[in-house]
Amino acid sequence: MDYEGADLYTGTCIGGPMNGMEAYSRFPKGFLVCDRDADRAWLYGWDGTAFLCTHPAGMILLDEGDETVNSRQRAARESDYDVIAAPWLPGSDVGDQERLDGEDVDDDNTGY
Amino acid sequence: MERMWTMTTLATDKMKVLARQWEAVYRSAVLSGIVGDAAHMRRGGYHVSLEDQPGKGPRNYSAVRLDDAAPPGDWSREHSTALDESMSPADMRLCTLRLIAIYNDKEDPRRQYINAFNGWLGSGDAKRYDIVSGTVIWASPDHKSHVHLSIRRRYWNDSSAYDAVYSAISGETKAQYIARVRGVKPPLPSVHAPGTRDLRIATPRMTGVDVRFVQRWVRGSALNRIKDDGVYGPLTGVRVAWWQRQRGRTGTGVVARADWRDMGIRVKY
Repeated sequence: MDYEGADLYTGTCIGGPMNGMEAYSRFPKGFLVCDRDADRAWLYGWDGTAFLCTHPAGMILLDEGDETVNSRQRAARESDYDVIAAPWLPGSDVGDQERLDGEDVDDDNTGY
Repeated sequence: MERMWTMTTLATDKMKVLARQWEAVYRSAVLSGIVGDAAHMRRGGYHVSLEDQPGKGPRNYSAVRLDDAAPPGDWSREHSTALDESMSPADMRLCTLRLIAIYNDKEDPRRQYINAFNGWLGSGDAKRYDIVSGTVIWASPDHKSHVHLSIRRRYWNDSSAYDAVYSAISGETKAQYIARVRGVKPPLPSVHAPGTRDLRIATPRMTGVDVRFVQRWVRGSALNRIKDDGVYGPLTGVRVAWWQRQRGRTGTGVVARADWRDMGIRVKY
């Protein structure tokens, strides 16, 4: 069954905060990585074999308004660049009554 | 003759609100997609409306299930019912665990609204958890950086469905969810959930998950953002007042019932 599986562009990142990391993009021009804690974003362009960081210092992450002024909202709606979250950010807060035992998956029907 | 795509797929306002809620729950989350692009149009799926499903051969998998097919269903043929939210590995794990808890519990009423989700636990392959069929299968590796969640098409504009998804991703327990939607007093959480009280500048300061949710909702941009420390102080009050004025209301700086509703949160007090 085909489901939401994308044609992926896969390669190593060169430059910027993801230098040396393997990354995936579903879109042909590369991806935008967004760090909401630091309010910065970096564009990685796909050159056919690797993702090259276009501006290693990054850009200010605009987090307001619609896609006319907000690059990440625009990228999420268009089909040139993927949008991914900064992988180095820590996890969010968890309620102290919350039990996280989902790793015990009832997956008798796992269909590998 | 080359086929010309007429892309009619639309995103519902409710899905856009859910995307913002997701970003308010998870500090790393960024919207990664709602409506499919041309490549999605060729493959079909829940990011694509029924009208835009590809080809005239075998019907696409996202258009055949009882809660998806229209006709015979009379729901929208123009809207997508899926959302992609990218998160850091730590948040991917947390969010995936919360959704798996619902996948595992056959009695959880939130399951009725969700078709499937793809997620990652931080190691091994990403997986797709199909709630309708009860199967878990391999998912493509891009799902190591984003959770994909599809709502059954029948519920494309049903507030209860979006509330159930928000409940799931925010870590609300089944008991809390059931009590809330039935209008009975839920088991007291150890932290204040969004929509359970008014928020204002007070002494001592109000604190909690609800305060952090609001701070992330009204957070502003790089040049004027406020901290999401979970403490309702003067800067948060000023920012809330600004946000209220942006919406055409008096800027009281007090988060009341109408404000929670504007954030897509069901009021529970």
